[in-house]
Amino acid sequence: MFHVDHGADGTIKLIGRLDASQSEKAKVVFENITESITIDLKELDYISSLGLGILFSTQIRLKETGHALKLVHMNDHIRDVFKYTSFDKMFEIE
Amino acid sequence: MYHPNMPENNMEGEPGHMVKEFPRDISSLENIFSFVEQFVATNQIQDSVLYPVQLVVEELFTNILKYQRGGESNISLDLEKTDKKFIMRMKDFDAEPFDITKSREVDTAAYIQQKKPGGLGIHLVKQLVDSIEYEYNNRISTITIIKHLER
Repeated sequence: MFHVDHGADGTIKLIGRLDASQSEKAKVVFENITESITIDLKELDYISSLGLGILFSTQIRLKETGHALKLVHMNDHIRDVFKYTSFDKMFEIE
Repeated sequence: MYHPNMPENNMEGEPGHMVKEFPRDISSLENIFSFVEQFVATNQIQDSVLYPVQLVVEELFTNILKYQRGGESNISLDLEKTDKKFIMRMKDFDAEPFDITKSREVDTAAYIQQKKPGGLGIHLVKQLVDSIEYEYNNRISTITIIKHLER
């Protein structure tokens, strides 16, 4: 399963598996982001193309107003997926 | 829909070869993931294979849901491990021809510039496997992917 937590430090934490059956949950959260924010992926085990598309669209929209998503604590598998799609060039990743 | 290729109990196989059918619905994903996870664990395949294989299976399955909306059959997933290979065959028994191996190559730099991430799923599949084949015969489409295993 997948869920989203809002950290006390202002970050958004993605937790679990963001597959196609869970993407609507993520979409609702990301559609409401209007300013730069850190997305903590420490507990995100899995992401597929629909989830990537949501991050992509949000980043494009935010950059139009001078804002951006920053991604932290990405696991190695997800890092590979970002590399294969060149998304690693679109985001600040720590 | 009945078809003669599958046993009535919906699952068959030896440990190194398992086949199971899944309803043609997004809600099947959880059971598909469990099936793949069970196969990988049973066959002592290295954990590093699980993520890419689950990702490939999801992208191919959701591609069928997206582009084969008129189909009514279940989708079968056939997993096989040989000495050096992981082989996955996904069969749609009620499909229109759609050869994903001939889908256009994705130019990742271009889609970032154009701000449209189209074709990402199939692009990822091609990046994550060692070979991919497509067959179509009598409304049955079969996608076969092979991933080499470390020894």
